[in-house]
Amino acid sequence: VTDTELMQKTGAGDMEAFGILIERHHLRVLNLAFRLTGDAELARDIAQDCFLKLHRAADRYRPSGRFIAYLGSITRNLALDAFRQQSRHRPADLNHIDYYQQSGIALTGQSPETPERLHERRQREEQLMTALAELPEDQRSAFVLSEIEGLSYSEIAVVCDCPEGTIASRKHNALRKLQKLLQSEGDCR
Amino acid sequence: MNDRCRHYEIEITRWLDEDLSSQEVDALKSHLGNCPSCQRQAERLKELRRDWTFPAPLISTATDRESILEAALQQQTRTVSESNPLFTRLKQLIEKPFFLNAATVCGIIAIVLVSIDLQRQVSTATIPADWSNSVPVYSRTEYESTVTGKKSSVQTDIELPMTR
Repeated sequence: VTDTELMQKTGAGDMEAFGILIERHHLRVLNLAFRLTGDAELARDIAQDCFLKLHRAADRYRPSGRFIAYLGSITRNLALDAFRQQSRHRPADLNHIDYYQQSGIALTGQSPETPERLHERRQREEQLMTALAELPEDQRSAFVLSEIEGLSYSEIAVVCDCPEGTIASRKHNALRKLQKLLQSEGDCR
Repeated sequence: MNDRCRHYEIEITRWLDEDLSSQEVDALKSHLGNCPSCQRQAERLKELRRDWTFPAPLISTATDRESILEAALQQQTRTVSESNPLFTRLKQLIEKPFFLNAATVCGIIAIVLVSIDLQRQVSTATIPADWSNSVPVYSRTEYESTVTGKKSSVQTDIELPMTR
């Protein structure tokens, strides 16, 4: 069953269909919110709000692109709203090292790894998350939506409501900044 | 770095994201062939992207998903109820403090009226239904003659209802 069909059924009041949509996309929305905000608790709230918003809009939903782009758009807007409400909240202030110790947080990866390799990978991930939090919101969104969520520039342009050229430029600036930040972190070690 | 290279730097990012048309790819490749600086940047970016991994750091728990579904169910129930115009009107009315005050006053009045009615029913229940027919009507003279056994010489027109 496609996401569009599930949305149509949800719009007609079928909660089972909506349950399938949640099962299918919750992990993605949750982690997108987490990467945009850098806050695990806030990400859970945003994910919940995103699905409630989706549920409210189900009867008016008209497919105009990939469903994940639509979800990404809702998630990003909610993340921006959360930033505005909690102006004191800065993702860069968070201690990303603690993420993996927090409840409900775990590394994915199915293949068995040696403790050394696992440690090395965790370090790389933490470096990347810390560097990501240093980026301005627009560059971070462009990077996360493109690099992690796999959206095309045209889809991100719709999500961020700006021209494709701007997205390319933001992504480029994000890459340059990350390159510098990761390089300097590597030098420090 | 000149303006041309700045333009191609962004093109490199787009190329790595497969966002360039075949013509644009040809133009970029031709530039990279002639510009060692841009070529190095392209290699660095490729290497950077090869290195990083993006695991899903948060787990989606069954509790999370169930609570969303539950909240959505409540939202749906609310929406269905609120779409009923009678429900909406009643809700608006009840939410007004005036309505609450008026409802309280009406309630008190209703209680008073009911108690008065009850009292009346209790008091009439002891009197026979043909009470007005069974009570004889005497004139004053008749009454006096009934009590004293003598006939009065003075006649009056006043009639008094008396119980025996």
